[in-house]
Amino acid sequence: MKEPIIQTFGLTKNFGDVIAVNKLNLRVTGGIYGLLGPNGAGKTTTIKMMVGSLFPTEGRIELFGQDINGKEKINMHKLIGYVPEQPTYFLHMTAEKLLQYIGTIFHMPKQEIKQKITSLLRLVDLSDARTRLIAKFSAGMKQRIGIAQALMNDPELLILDEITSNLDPVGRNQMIELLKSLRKEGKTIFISTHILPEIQKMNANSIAIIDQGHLIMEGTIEELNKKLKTKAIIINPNHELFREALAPIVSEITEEFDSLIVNTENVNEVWQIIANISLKNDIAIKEFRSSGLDIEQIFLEALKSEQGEGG
Amino acid sequence: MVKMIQKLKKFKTPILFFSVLIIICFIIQCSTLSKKLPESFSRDPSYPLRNSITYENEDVVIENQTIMEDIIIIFTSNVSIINSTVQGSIYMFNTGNLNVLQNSSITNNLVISDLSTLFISNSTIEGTIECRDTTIMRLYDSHTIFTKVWKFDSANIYIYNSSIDQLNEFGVAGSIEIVNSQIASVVLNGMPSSRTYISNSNILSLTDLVNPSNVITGPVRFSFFNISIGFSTSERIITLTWIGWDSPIIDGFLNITFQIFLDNQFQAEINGSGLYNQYSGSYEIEIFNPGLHNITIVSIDSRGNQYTSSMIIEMIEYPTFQWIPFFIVIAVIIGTVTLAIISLRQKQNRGYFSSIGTIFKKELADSKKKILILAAIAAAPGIILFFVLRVISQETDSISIDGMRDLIYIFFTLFISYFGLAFSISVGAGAVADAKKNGSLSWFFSKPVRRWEFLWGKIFAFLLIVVITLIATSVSFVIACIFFVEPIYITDILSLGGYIFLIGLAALIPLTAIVVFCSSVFKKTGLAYFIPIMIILLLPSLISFVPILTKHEWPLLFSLNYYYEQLGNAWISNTGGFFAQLSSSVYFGVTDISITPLNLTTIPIVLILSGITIVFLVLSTLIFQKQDLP
Repeated sequence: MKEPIIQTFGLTKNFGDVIAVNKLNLRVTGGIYGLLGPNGAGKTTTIKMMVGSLFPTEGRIELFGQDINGKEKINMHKLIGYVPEQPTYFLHMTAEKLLQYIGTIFHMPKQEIKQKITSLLRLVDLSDARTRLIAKFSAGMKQRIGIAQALMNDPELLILDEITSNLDPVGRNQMIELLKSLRKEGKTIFISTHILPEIQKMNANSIAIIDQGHLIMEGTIEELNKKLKTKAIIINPNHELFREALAPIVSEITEEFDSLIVNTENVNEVWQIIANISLKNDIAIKEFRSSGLDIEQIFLEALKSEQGEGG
Repeated sequence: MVKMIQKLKKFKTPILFFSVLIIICFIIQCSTLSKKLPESFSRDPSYPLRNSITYENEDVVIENQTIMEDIIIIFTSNVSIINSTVQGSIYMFNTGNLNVLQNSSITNNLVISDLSTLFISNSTIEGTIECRDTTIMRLYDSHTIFTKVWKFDSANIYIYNSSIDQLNEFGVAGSIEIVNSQIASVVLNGMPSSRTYISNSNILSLTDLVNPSNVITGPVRFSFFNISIGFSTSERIITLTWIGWDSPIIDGFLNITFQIFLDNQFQAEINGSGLYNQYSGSYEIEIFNPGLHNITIVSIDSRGNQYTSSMIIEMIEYPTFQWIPFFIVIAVIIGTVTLAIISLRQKQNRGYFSSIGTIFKKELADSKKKILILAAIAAAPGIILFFVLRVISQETDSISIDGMRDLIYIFFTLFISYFGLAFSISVGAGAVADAKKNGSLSWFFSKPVRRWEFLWGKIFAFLLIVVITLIATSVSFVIACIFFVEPIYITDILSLGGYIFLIGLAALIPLTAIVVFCSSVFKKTGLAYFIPIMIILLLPSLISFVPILTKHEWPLLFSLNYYYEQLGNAWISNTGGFFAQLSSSVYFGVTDISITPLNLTTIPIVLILSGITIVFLVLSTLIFQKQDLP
């Protein structure tokens, strides 16, 4: 079993009477790890505890096998790069000065800082804005300089909080490609988002779904699919009779070109109904196959099942 | 009308009350007046007992007559006696006017008092002329060998071209002028302030028992608010000034010498004789020992009469700034910092990771413009003082070191209170609070930065800014003053520069510590700005009156301004300041409330301020270490 890069143990954070994070146990072993949850689920609070700006009310966090509030805190911080949800860097600095400052904080040699600044600004497409004040940056540019500053120390772990929320579609795709390439370099990326297709596009190794501060599910997409009873069934053709018959018994029906996709926990029952209609009405079934849920479906199903349990 | 009466009826009780009150007052006043009048008459020993004629508010001319009775002239009567003889005495009161003219003769006494005036020309007075109160008597061209003139009180007597037997002077003020006259005997026995001038006259016997007077008028001490005689001074060479005069002045010549003594030790003898009414003298005395000193001026006239006036002068010795220990302390601090940097670097070479230096440098780099502005503001009072002193020096010969100390004290203590507030807020208030507010701290602390290093990196930068700013203040004050003092006081000015720096440190460092505490502890930025304003502006004004309640000055311990003032009093000028004026002496003077003073010396003050600084910085660090940063 791989050693976890991040592991939380009963992580809890209260703000007065409000429980923002509730006994959260996460385990990140590498690759891209998506922390999914609706707004207010506790994603940012969890991340801020990981980077040390908030202190847990209960529980603890280990990064690289060390308690983040322990003696090795500073050494751990040398290994991480963090991009906050709302980029609030030193606005009175230029992009170059900010990166220079970060470089000096990491005690990097001047020459190395210089080279790193050039390569990172190129990487995040901000070479032209090198000497521009960050205060004059657009939201997307601030997000990109955030990535650059987080990569300045060549971190092993990147903690990214909703980083694509301020980016345009082109920027998002570039960011996704960048993160994929960083994963190839062996970096662990812990990303929180509520934009689920991005996690799918990133081909996240693992995801965790949290709601109201506690963990609903954690694992790879395959593992989560296994955990969920609901399956997606693809039926071709997309016939009106099928839709009418299935509507009362399945949780969701979507249409995709000439196919129907239905989510159900009872595949056999669906097959019985489709087979009967097909025989009676002489409709040829071109395709009937069971498939795993996509990430968005998993997320919704997970929340639904959680609410069902809760309710 | 009826309505008005009805309205007035509503107020009948108060109207009645006040009416009764007015009547009572009127009765009392009338009875007092009626009692006073005979009393005032009866007090006069010369009040006539014989039959008399009284002229009251009358204009009367007595010409070619012989009057046997006494004449009493009262109130504003204007009486002229022309070529007549009065067998009785004449008494004048109030503001009457009597002219005795053209061979008239008064065979008895003539007594004038109050504000009455008497003019005698070419006539004979065989009795005594008694001049009292503020009367004026003019005796012209009259020759009677029996006439005796007595001067009392503040009467003014002019004897021109006349001959009389005696002139006896017992006045306290007023003057006598004797011109072209002959007097058998003049006895001057009054106060020195009653002056006698004799010109071109023949005095057969002159008895001068009047002491030659003198009044010490200086050293004059320039202060910001007035010119006053300084009884306490830090001047080592004081210019003693005085005025001396004597009576009589014969033919316009004042004959007087002055002997000056310091602590009963003879210093100098100065001849003040000359053709003038009074002598204005000045003499420089060197006093080197601090404490109380007795300065005496003895004036001696030609007949050996002496008058001594003296003053106690307190020689204040302000402490001299100890530059050598100061530079040793500076060297120790620099050495300690250097050693700390070396040891930190060695630790870093062994793997320890510290960002304190980076944060310190960044804070300074970010504050370049701020430092320049603050240094310019800090130098401003010194620059203004230079121009103020320039204007003053054009008006006066030289500015005393006392005056300069006063000015520096006023400029500096006022400046440091408000500048301290502006400084600490501009430097420290936003240090952590602003970063907390915009959320950049949570990002920043994801870097390998310890919180205490972040805080102390900034604090060290603030301390350096404090030092730079105060150097600007001290240097500006020294440069402003050094051109306007005597060379012997240059060391005093340099000392003042050192003390300005120390007081500045005592003011700015605790304030900055409090502001840093507020900035790092409070989650609301507004509090980081508001609390220092409370501490500097509101708290001292509220606290300054509390000693009335406590009968002790201990509440003043809660006001930082009190400490700066006390240090200023000890090191710059002991002129008091805001708290001194509001505390014991004034309360005691006005209300007889005795307030026990704190009597804090400089060492406890410095210890208290250091304690405040340490407590707030330690608390800031401890709280900031464990604080959630949103």
